Amino acid sequence: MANLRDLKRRIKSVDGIRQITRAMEMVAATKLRRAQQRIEAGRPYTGKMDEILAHLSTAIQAGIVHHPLLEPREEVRNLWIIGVASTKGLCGSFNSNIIRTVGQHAREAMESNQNVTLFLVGKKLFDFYNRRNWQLHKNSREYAAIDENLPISLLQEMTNICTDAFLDGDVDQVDLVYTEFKSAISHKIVKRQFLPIVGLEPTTDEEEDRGKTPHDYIFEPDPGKLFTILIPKYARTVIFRMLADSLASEHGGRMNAMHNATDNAGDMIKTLTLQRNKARQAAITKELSEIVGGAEAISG
Amino acid sequence: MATGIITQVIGPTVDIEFPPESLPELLNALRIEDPARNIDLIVEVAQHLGNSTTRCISMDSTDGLRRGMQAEDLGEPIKVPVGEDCLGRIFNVTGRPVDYPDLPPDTEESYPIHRSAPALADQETKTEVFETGLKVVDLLAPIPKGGKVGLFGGAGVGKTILIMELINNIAKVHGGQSVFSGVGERPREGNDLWLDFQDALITPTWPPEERERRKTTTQRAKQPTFQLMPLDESKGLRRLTIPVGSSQFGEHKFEFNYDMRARVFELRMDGQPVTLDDETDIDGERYKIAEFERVLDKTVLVYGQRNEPPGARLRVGLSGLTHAEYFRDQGRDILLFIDNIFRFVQAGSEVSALLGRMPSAVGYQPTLATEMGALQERITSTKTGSITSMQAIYVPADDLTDPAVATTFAHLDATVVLSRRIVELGIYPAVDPLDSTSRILDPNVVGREHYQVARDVQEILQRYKDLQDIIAILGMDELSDDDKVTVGRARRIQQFFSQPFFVAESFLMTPGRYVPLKDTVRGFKEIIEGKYDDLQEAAFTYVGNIEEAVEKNKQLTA
Repeated sequence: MANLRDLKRRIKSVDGIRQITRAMEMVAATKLRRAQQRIEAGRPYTGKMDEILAHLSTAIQAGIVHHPLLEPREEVRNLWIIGVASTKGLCGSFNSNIIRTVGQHAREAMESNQNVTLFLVGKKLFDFYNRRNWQLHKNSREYAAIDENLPISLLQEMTNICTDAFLDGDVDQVDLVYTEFKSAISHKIVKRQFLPIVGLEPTTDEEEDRGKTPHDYIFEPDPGKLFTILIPKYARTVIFRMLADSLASEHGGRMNAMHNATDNAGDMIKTLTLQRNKARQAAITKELSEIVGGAEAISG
Repeated sequence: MATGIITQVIGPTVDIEFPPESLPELLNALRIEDPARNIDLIVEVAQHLGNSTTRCISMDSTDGLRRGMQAEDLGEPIKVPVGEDCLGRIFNVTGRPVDYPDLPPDTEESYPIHRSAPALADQETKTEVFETGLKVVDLLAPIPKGGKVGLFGGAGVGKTILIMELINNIAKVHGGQSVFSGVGERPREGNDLWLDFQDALITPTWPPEERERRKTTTQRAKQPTFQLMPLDESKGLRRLTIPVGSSQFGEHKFEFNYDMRARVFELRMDGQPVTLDDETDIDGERYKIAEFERVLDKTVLVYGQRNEPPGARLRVGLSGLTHAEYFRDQGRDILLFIDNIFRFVQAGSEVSALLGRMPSAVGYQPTLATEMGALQERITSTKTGSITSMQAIYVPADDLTDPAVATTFAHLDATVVLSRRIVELGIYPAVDPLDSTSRILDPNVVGREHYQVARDVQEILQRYKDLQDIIAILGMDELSDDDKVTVGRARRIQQFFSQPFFVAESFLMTPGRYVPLKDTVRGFKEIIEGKYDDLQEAAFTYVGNIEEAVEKNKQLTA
């Protein structure tokens, strides 16, 4: 039977941990709400952007408009992988999932002889690959820990780094790996291509409309000029969505992890308390029986 | 000698009044006999109560005793016959044969069971490692030759099976003599061991003249075992053991008997006497007759099991020890197995209150440490010969701080602690790697490499234990990368401590494994170095050496 004093000490320390995890759960819940609001707030803009580009995609397919960011390269030699995880821990499997997916993706690419450079956001993710001496983007360190408010300048810089490199031919493809936010308890790891921009499929609500009746826009100013402005803006919204989703998922993950931790600590306290009570009762019984036995022996 | 009269009988204690001038000495044996009622009882003087009355502890059931019966002072403590001829026999606490009661061992000598421990100056000081072939024991609690090992464990954690495995690995390989003392455990276990030892054979290493002698005579001091051995073993033919009585192998009829009194055997094939090295054809294959000795005939078994009164259980350890001491004093290296020392303490506590002593901590006898010391100090190696002893110690309620257990700890050279926590993980032998240790786990004795590996293993397991609360509350994901690696290795080490037992072969369907010490050390060293981090944890369970783990991993991943 474990010793009474040790049990008491352990109960106390587990209780301390429970208080912390409970506080962290509440903080994460608040931050999650804010991050969620930001996604909501950005939705009209990003939604509209998707819509317009989807409409225009027919024009792209028809070859009316061209933009260098839309041109796939014949051979992908240099690949960047942008991974987003968190700067802080205690958020369950959030970081390790991203770490795993980034590694998997990079290894697959390397197997097909691509030169992979990692651009990693989030200190946990950055440190992991930095320590293992993977090839990291030269600017990656500056973005290892980002401002959680996601200022527009940050988004712009990140977008520019990617698009400039792509346009200069330094990189042939840029992929994103991040956690998509679905709800507070459900997140999904997504792995998608960022540059050259793809997936601008025509989307219309009516099935039969698809592909049949291309929206006939009269562009003013001309499509070339319009696209030069629109496409980089679209790229920026993709980056924004990625970071915002990832942040929300992180807080969601942390909220869950801390909730579970609080529950686990509670269970542990219960078992320990039971053990403590047993130990105490055993000690009492032992003393009693010794006294009684001793008294009996003397009187007998 | 003097004769006294029974004045009181309370359970296992008997009060006997003697004439004042001829009071028996303490620890003397007294005999109470009544042939008419089939009573033949030995009691031992424990106290002098005053008024010429002695209080005695009975070595057998006191059923049928009456006040007024006569008790004869034998003038000396209980004496047990010792010697070569005791090998292969089972005795009770008073040295009476249990297996064939009317066939006493052919020996002149007998020793009193109460003797003093060897003087300090006579004790052996050399230390040497005794390999057991059990990974966890060899690595973390190496057994010194001529030393004492304790196997501690609560109910049902596998003490007896572990001691049986040690007997299998040591006594059978060792080839020398051993003494097994069963103290207060299941009578069935004694029977099992007796039968098992009859079947277990020793491959003889006789000098040529002895071999010749055996061919020409049918005299044998102990019952031999004959086997028909195929001359061409490459065909996968089995050896055939010729059983006692008549038997038929192929076209031949065999007749085998051993006369224990005349110590002569008779082996006939189709009516004709045959002997060692004779050849014959069976089913078209040529066989040779080979002779073996039984492991039983190298062992003295002394039992005072839980069906016997406390007096017997209190003294049977001493009886067994006395046999071992005899062989030691003859200059042999002997093995002494005791299962279970706790029952000795328990028996002491049962009679203690009846002797009028006030119970001490947890109700044990106040003389606990003295009694234990008197027994343990005698189990020791001298410059003449050695006693390597292995003792199982029951741990009541899994509480290692229990006075009986705590008292025993201090006397041992190596302690192997079996833990319920490990049993719950399904790992056998359930040795607790952090509680078990040995006096000789020292770089000067086991060597620097072994020592370092053992300490590293313990460090990793300790770290894992420390992290367990964090894992339980926050989950594996919150551990640092280094800790994750440590946990992975700790779990592999933990699994690698498991080992299939020879004595459990028939239950597990996996053959037992004997792992040489150097393989053990190498295996754990490579796990610590991280060589097997990519192997599945399950690959490490119930394998012998590390190569088997690699092999098992291939099967698992295939």
